[in-house]
Amino acid sequence: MIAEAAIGFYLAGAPVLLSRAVSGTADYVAMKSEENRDSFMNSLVLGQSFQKSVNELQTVVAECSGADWDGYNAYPVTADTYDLARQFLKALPLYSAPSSVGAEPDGHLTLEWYKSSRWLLSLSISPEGMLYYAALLGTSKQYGSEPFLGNVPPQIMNLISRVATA
Amino acid sequence: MSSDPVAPEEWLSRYIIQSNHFRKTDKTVKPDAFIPHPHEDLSVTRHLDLDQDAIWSIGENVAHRRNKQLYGRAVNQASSYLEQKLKVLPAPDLPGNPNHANVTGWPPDKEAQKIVALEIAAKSEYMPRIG
Repeated sequence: MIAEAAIGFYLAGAPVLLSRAVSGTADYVAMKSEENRDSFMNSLVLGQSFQKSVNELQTVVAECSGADWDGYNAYPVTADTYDLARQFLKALPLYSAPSSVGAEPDGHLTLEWYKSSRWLLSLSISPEGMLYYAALLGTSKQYGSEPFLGNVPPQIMNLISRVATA
Repeated sequence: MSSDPVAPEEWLSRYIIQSNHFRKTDKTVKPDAFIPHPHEDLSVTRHLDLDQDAIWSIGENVAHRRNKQLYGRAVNQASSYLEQKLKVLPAPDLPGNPNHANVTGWPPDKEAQKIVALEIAAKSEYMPRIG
């Protein structure tokens, strides 16, 4: 029963705890929470989509980590940006992995949730930890920016759900 | 060399030289291919009276100059850009591409650039380089 509750918690998108602990107990809770989440991520079934996204991310970073990677003065994708993107993937509910990942010439990594050319969400992750998002939702659209503080911002989670259920 | 104004119904190609700028699943172009930053402009090539071989040849030159592989091209009418309040200006001074043009007037904010890129990508046809 405890295990089921824990799985439900992780499937619902547990926040990634970004070491804001201020006591020994809080440090311990944060560490155990991270360990438990990693355990689920590493499980064969639950962790497949996460690992697939991380593998894609690593491929993109390998292609785009040098200066001028597009031959047209693109900014390199840095290790910091990769770490942030990986943290963001870990903060997602396990059933809502992106369709694909990519990079933009300003050095941002992109995650995309894609149903069709008019039902999609594109998210850019900057080296400074900003999330820039834009979505086409049939005949409507939404765009904006949010800082990444360890949780998937509700606006972005809502857009992921809308694209997934379109 | 064409310095004539770009008409809304003109066809334009944006060459795709990054493997993560198109979707392998359904062969469509991702909006990432249309983000100009850190530049102010986005490069495209006017078709005008070029045949398919000539359009591909320019793309091969572009990829070669950048030491990249040409995967394909995103084809749009100029109206796709104009509808987003952008301008398409002839820029035939690029070596090896007398049909070169720049898409200008992009909003400065990243999120605003992204929504424009999504709209353009949605109207784009991806043509993969065969052979």
